[in-house]
Amino acid sequence: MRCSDLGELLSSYVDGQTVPAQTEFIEAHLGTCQRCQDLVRHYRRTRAIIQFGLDDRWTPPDLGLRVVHACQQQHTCRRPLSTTGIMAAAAALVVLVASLLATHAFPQRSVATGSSLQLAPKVAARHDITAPHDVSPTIVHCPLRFAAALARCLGVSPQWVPTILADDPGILVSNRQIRNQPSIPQIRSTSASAVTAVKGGGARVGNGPGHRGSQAI
Amino acid sequence: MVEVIVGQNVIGQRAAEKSITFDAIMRQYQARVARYILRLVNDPELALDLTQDTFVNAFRNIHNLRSELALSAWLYRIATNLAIHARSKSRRIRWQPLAEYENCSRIAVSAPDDQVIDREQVHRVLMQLPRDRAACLILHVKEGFSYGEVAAIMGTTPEGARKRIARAKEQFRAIYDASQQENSRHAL
Repeated sequence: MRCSDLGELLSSYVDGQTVPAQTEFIEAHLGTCQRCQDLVRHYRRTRAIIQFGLDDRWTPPDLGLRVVHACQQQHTCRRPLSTTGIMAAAAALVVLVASLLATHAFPQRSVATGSSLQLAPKVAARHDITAPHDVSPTIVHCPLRFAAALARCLGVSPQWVPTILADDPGILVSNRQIRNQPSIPQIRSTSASAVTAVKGGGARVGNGPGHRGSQAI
Repeated sequence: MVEVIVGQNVIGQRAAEKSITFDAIMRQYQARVARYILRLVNDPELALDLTQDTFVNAFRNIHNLRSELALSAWLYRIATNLAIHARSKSRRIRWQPLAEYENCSRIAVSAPDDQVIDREQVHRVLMQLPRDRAACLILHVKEGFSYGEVAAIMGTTPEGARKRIARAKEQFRAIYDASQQENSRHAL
């Protein structure tokens, strides 16, 4: 082995990390090689600079209380979610994504201004609807419109899709909103098969049970 | 079976011979770990924050402690990862002269061969080394870990650790000598 190949091995030797066979070989070599002796001195000096240059004068304060407090805080904040919570979050996420997609893919035909809702003239004329006062814009639901359009694209049977939606998406209002409105307009739909008057106000749309959550006026 | 306890609450368990408490771990290691982090980031406030994070992470993951990795090496591994991550966000790191937080005006010490070592310069040079090399060098030379332990802490092989340490020493010495020569020229 040549001296030039010994560089990193000599560094390990100075660090005391060579195996006995290597140590024996290096020490035999050092007895005859001035260049490698100089290199060993260089490594020892470097080691001393680092070792003594980094002494332990700094005394940190006791962090015990800080750590225990931080641990307790994290323990309180990191409670695992219940299954119901996860399901609710997932459902909310699906609704949100569907709403966003629908908003971009199918621009609304009605415009909500302030606290009142203006119906698209075509829809209002067809169904003879007067919009209730103080209907919040939040009652406009896009997911069902989106689902209807998607079903049309996929060629799903019209039974799946509320007819009123297939004809004209109009405006969808949730059951809760309708129940909360003191003066719900009477609906006289031209497509009677699609909209059925429901006792207590509001209108149930479509045939399937999956449509109970939303209603179209 | 050992219960690792913080206060009166059992927070984890691992196979071993005797009981240890998290408080005992804190008492034993917090000063060492804090000084080690300080050498990597050279900012005492940041070093304290990172030390706290180290022990909080240890508290949360003590049940994952593998038997082959000693407790001290495991703590240093967490500390190293945090310090390297903090150093990569270089904007957070500010240089603070040693004398400011050590309450001492002298920043030079004498090595056994009576050559004066500029401690401030040593810290500055270490900050110029690549993060992983600086960590390997400090872990071995200052903290006393073997190449195998350094490899376990850094997540590399003993051969990889040996090469990093050798190269770090070379690089450190080259920068240190250059800065010493620069200082001598300025002094003249």
